[in-house]
Amino acid sequence: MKHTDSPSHHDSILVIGYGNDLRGDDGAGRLVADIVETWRLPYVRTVSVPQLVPETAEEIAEARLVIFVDAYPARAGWPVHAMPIEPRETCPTFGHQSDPSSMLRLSQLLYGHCPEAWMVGVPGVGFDCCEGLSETTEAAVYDAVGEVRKLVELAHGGAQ
Amino acid sequence: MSRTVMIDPVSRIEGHAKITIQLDDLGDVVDAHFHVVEFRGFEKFCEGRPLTEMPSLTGRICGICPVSHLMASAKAGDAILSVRIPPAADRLRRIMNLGQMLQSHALSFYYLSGPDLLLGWDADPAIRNVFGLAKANPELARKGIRLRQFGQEVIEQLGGKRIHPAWAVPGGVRSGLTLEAKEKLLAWIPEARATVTETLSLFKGLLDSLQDEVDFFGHFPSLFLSLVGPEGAWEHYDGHLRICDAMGHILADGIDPADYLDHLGEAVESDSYLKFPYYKPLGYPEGIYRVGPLARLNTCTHIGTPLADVELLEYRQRFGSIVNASFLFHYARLIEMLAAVEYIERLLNDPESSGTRLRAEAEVNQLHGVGVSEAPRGTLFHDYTVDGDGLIQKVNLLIATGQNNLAMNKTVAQIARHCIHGTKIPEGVLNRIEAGVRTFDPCLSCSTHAYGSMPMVVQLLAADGGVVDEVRRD
Repeated sequence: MKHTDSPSHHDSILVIGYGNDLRGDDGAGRLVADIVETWRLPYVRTVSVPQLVPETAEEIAEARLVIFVDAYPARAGWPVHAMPIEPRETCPTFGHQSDPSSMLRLSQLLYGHCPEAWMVGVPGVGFDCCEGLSETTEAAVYDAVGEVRKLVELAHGGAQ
Repeated sequence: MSRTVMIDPVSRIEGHAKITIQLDDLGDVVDAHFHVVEFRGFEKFCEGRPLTEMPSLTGRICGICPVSHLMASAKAGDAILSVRIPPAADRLRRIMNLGQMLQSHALSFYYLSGPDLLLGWDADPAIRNVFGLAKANPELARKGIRLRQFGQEVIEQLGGKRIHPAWAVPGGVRSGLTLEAKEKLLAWIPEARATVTETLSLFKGLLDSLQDEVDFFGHFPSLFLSLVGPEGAWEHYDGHLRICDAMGHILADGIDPADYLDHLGEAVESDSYLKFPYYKPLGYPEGIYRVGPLARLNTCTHIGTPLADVELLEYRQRFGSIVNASFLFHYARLIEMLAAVEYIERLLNDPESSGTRLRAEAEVNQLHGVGVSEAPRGTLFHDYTVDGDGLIQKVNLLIATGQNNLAMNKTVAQIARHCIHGTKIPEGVLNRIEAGVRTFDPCLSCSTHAYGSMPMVVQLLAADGGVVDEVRRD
């Protein structure tokens, strides 16, 4: 977990990139988070993890906007998408892995706050055991970074 | 007409499995089996790799307990190099192993089994989950999450990351612990200790209402195996093997872990990728034994830390010096969490853990080495044969969950016989069977690593249940 300088988390924007970077394009979300981290924006925190776990719920509750970034199985030409997500009890058995809606619900239940949240999906075309992204997904990563930038600017601009 | 009841998948365990229960004409349970349907293959594809890669490679077997594989693998490497690792490396490996035990036990108790224990077996499945737990007892859920975070923080401070740290190596460890990291972890100790103590009190308060579960969730005599330290102390990283029976008689003691194959055999069955280890002198399947928290508390004379020893005393006063009830794996797990917190504090304060010499350098001096440590789920064996250049020729991994395989099958059958009479099977019963397996906290990712020797049977069944074709690989 990486923290940009941020004494109070409650006004921050949290970007969570997750996926298995030993499964080819599944690591795309983590790469997006790593790129966002290089912006070094004081109001943006990033988390790059193999999977969503309950321990992240507190971090989520402390943010005012959370952007989840993950790869989705796609075909060449399918787009990056960004959609708002709501808290839901969709993954009731989660122990060491979860999904974004369940994470939001857990934050709401345990820490009394569920921030506005978006899911940015990065098209992935290869999920075999290997490191590195396919050309298709590598190109899509930059579109995904653009989507994250738009959401961040919108939220930060709105807060000013 | 006989009937088979199938539970597929079994939920809230690490991995994928199914359970079949065979009923007779009267609807009584004849037999039950826990089938593991995952297939991995680590033992085979490690062949040809350099010894130095093995800790990182085998750590990838599992995302929950990679540290356990890291430890056993590094120790097998120590044996092949024929080195005694520096004192600081020993202390630091111990700290990480305890952090692993703590985070894994916390996951098992708070996330996986907590909903059953605190909401009840017959609660609506729609609420008997982590959300239900968060609604019913948010403070406990928050504290459980924080406790697991502490264990993960221990691992991250030492290894640089929480999952798959490439840190322990043959001969020692790659890096030490900074003073800042030590202070951060020590500052967290009081909170971690308080959480475990509170949870122990909560669990003990529930025990009166859980007598049925104590009685039939895998309550049977078996052998128990674990590492023990000097004077029979509880041990998690080193020491020698001890095997005792259901009455507490020590059958074998002082066993050099490298000699494990003189005492343990591995059987295979056609319906599961999980091997069936057994104690050789008693044969298969009579040599059934259990490993893990329950076994460790049965084989040890004492734990060696003040609070955990008090809890061990109370545990033994309640259930006897040898506990045969698998349900009490949960209780033993909580006591081990307390022991882990106390030992971590002690080791962090040990000046030896600040030593700067972290790795013994050596070439290959033996062509065979065995590394053994206690994983959260039980004793873990890594057995390597290398060539003169240190390239792996043969690997045998004996995993805790596999060693509990016979006991898990017996547990499923016992619960099924107790609960199922006739053809109507309420949800609460199915959950009890799953929960019986969950007491062992099985990790199927770890335990299905074998390759090439699994007998398999594929049957083609007609609509009336008759077998019309069968393919068998012995």
